[in-house]
Amino acid sequence: MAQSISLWGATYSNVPAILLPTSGGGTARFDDTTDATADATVINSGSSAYVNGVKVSGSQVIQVYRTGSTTPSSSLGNNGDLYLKV
Amino acid sequence: MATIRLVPSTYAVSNSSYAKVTDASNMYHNTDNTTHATLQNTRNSTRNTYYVYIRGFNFDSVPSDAIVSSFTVKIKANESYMSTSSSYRPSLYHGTTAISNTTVTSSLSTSVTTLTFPTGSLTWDTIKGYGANFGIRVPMRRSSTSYSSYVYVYGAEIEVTYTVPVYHSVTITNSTSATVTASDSNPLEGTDVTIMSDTISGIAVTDNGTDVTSQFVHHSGTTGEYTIENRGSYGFALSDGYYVSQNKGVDKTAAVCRVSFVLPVASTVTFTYINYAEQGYDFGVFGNLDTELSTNYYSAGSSGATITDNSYKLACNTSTHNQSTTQTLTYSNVSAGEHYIDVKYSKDDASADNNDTLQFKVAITYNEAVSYYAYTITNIQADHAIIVSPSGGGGEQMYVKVNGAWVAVTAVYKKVNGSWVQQSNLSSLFNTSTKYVLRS
Repeated sequence: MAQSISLWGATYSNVPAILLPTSGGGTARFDDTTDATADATVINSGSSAYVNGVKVSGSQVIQVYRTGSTTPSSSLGNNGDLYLKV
Repeated sequence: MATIRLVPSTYAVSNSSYAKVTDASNMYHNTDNTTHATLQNTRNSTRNTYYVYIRGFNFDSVPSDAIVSSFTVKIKANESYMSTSSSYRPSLYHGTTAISNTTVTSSLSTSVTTLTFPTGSLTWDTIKGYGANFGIRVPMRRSSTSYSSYVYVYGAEIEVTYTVPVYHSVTITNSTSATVTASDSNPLEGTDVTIMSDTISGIAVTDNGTDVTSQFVHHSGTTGEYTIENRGSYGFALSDGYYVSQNKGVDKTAAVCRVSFVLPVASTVTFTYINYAEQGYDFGVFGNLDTELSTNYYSAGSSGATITDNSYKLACNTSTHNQSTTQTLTYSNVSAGEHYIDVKYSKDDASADNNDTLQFKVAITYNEAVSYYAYTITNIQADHAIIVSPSGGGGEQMYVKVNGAWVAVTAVYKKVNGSWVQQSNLSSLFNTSTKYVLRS
């Protein structure tokens, strides 16, 4: 997404991001995130993202599934994981 | 089917002073060998006969679970100035005891020849049981005290043809209230397995992903069925309601068949038979339940044929069972499941009398009336996963794509409290709010 912004009397259209100098000599980038649609349910549990200016912590539960031709060993996987024997 | 040639590894002599062996290692080969060991009778004062026993065949080279279909014992040799009388031909021995009817039918000659030993009624189990004591006895008798005499042995072998049994698994995953069982969960490749269910209503059954529900056949009543499989060179053929041995008039043979059946409940198996033959020499034998009879015939001495099978239910070798009229033999309270009974008609070395056959028919009576549905997997060649699910919505089969092809999932496990638990209801397997990712 982009915004039309005014800066020192001038108007700039379709600006997706602004880069500003930092005190350390580098640049800081600020993106327009107003069109993001993610919420906590689609962000992996343990991860986070900024959505429309707000930091959102993920709640999506992730489980692993595996395939194999033998019965799974007890040391494999975590609770809730699946194993498909073929 | 595989073939292996067992070779000897040692020898013994009957007299260490006069029976000499040189280059012995040359005879520890099969009969393709072209170099020879030399066996010599060194006594020139009298024409005594001395012997060399060639032994140490490596029986352990045959897999312990092999099913041996045939074996042949051979020696490759020739002689020089030895007596070639029929009394001095090589034969098979257990230690220093002769094994009956195993002398070669031709004498050694000056030409290098491979001779094959008759094995008579010798079975593989017997010869294997002799182990290191089994051997070939080579007689050495000078044709004249004037001549130095030799036997040249190029090799000896037991050629064994066998198969190693392959087993498959039949697993049943049942998420219904139906009682579903397999006649054998670990069947031998090539055999049949019957899946039995007390009902077919409200269930759907898949076999490795294929819906086989419609292939279940209803069985009810108090009588069972069986199949007959002939074994060996001669079998039995159905004639006028009886299975009749097919080696009539053929000496030194055995007709053998296997009666197989799957019982849903404990049952009585009854043979009605006519054994009317040369009493004590040619006769029928009924095996014990699930116990194999060999396909060998029983060789006879002056007092009748000797039964070489270690275990059997009934041998019809007496006047009690050698009758022109029907008699019965009953196997009572045979347990539910898959079983077989072997039946043999052995003819000895010569002669025939009366019908010269064994005739039989079989009746299977359940101990209680049954009603069940059965689906048979014939000539099994792979593992089979039987999945029984509620019909009409619950009969899903899961597939995964492996190396570009969809493969039926035979079992699904979910880790619960640290342990993998096999799941039976695929419908509720996945948590719809959870994201599942594949890991190798």
